[in-house]
This record gives sequence, structure tokens and C-alpha cells, in this order.
Amino acid sequence: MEKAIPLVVMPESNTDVRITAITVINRVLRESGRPERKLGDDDSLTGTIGLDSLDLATTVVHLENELGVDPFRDGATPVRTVGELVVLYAKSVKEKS
Amino acid sequence: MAKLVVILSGGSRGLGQAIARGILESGHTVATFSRSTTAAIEEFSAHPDWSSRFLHRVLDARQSEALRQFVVEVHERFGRVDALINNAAVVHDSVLAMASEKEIDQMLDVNLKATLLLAKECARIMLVQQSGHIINISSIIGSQGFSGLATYAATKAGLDGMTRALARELGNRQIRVNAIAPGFLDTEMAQGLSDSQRAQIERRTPLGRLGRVEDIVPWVNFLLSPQSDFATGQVFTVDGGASI
Repeated sequence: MEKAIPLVVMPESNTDVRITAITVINRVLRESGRPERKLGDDDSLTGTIGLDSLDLATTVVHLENELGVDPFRDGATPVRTVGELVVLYAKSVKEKS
Repeated sequence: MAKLVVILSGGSRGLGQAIARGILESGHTVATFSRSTTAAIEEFSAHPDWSSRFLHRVLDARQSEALRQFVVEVHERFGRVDALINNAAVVHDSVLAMASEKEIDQMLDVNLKATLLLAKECARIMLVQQSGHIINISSIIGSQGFSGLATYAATKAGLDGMTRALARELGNRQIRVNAIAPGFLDTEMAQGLSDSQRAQIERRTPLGRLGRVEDIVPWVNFLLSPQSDFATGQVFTVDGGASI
């Protein structure tokens, strides 16, 4: 059977962005006195991970420092999960390069 | 006290250059911008003790991207942004019925929009640093009003509202936001006052005179110091009693 072609960015190109995003989120947790944790694509940023608005802003600034992009400056719609964050940033990084 | 990196808008003349001088004399770094270079800017740029910790750029506060790039440049050059002093402002005196849209737009853009954009960019840096202080230079006109200054008053009242909201927003990250509201100061900005207007202001001021920049600079220095660490969301009025 033929392998289905993904309709979104190929997973391989998301890997670096995923690693960066998870590292940044855990840095935000650690620097605010919360424990670092294993993070999966389905984890909700404000739900299971427990980030508030300023944590999200801090995350976005760190990601801009690391990846050189901030999709929210251009009006991207808010994301809910780690997976959605990774896809959004991977797309921005690809568009920038 | 640890030495601070301070972004100051409009540090080339009037109150701004006095604030810049006071901060430089205290040993801190000042990064400022204005629409033109002045004798004060040239003096600070050439000063043997200050030149290495003074940065000036010519830019228009109405250029949003230029403001953002300025903050990025300061952060890259000095490694941090400890304080933002939103001082730059413009004023046009006319009864609102005769005010041009161009003048209204300019005051809204410089006095309010640019202060919000600078606060945004600096707050982003301060969130990652987990420290910072934003000081807005407001005016008693914002709370008292003055005939001929409706738009200016709107922008300064807006700045006071921003001060309180942002103090609530950033407080639990230990980032403070305060404002200083001078009364009428004897600077270039007040040159448009007629003799009778000046006399009226002096009569209505318990301490009987217009303010001087030297009356305001110590308040900026105090707010930059750790001695003021428990004050946030406040508008400190320094007006000789004119607003009581």
C-alpha cells in the first residue's frame, strides 16, 4: 500500500523546532520555580502544562531569540497545544529561510 | 546599587536631557533617541566618562519598526534593559473645535502609541530577565485638564491608565510600572504660554512658580533606585501643589 503523504510540514523538519520549544517551555517552568516535565504534542499549554499569559509571552520571546521568528507579531491565531506551537513555528522558520 | 541600562525616549532637550544627565551622573547607561541631535546629545556622546555608556539614535517615534529595532540594538549592545523611561511627547495648543487631525494624530502617535510600543518591547525583554521598571512621564494636565490641551490631556490620562494596568499585569513578575506627573515646567514645551497664562499658573500654584527640570530628575533617580522597590502602579505628582 502506498504511504500517505502528510498534508502538513514533514515531521523531520519539525524535530529541531520541537526540541527547542520543549527546552524553552521547561526553562520557563524551571525559572518560575515549577518542575520541568516530559512534554508531548497533545499537552495543553495553559491546561496540563499550566502556563499563564505572561509565561506564554516569555516563551514567545525565548523562541524569538532562539529561532529568529515570532509568528504572533504577524497576527497568528493563538495555539493551544505543544504540537500546534511546533507546527506554527516550523512553518514560520521555513518561510523565513 | 547595580548599574542599570536605561532606555529613555526623547533625551535630547528639555526634561529629557536633564533626566539623561542625571542618570549618566549616577553611573548608569542611557540609550536614547530623538528626532534630531542637540548640543546636549553631542556633549553626552563626547564626555570622557559617559560616552561608552551613552547611545543616541535619530529616529521618529512614529516609526513603529524603528522603535522596535532601537530596543533590539540596545539589548544586543548592552546585554540588558533594566528600565524604560517614556518621556518623549509632543504638544499642540488649540481648542479642539479648531484642532487639525494631523496634530491629533501626532500627539496620539507619539505620546500614547509609541509609549505602548516601547513598553511592549521592553516588557518582553524584562519578562525574560525577570526584572525591570517602566517609568512614564505623564502630566497633571491628564488629570486636571487645561483649555487648549484636550488631546494632550487625553494622551496623558491614557498614559496614567496604562501605568496602572501594566503594573497589575507585570507585578507578579517583579516588573514595576510607575508614572511621574509634573506640573507646568519652565522648558521649551512651555514657551508657547502667554505671559498671562504663566501668571495664572503661578497664582494657582501654592508654591508660586513653574517647575524646573531639577525638581523632577530626583524623582526619576529615586524610582530607579531599590529604595522605591515597593511602589508600583502609582502616578507621582510633582507640581508645586497646583493640582490640590
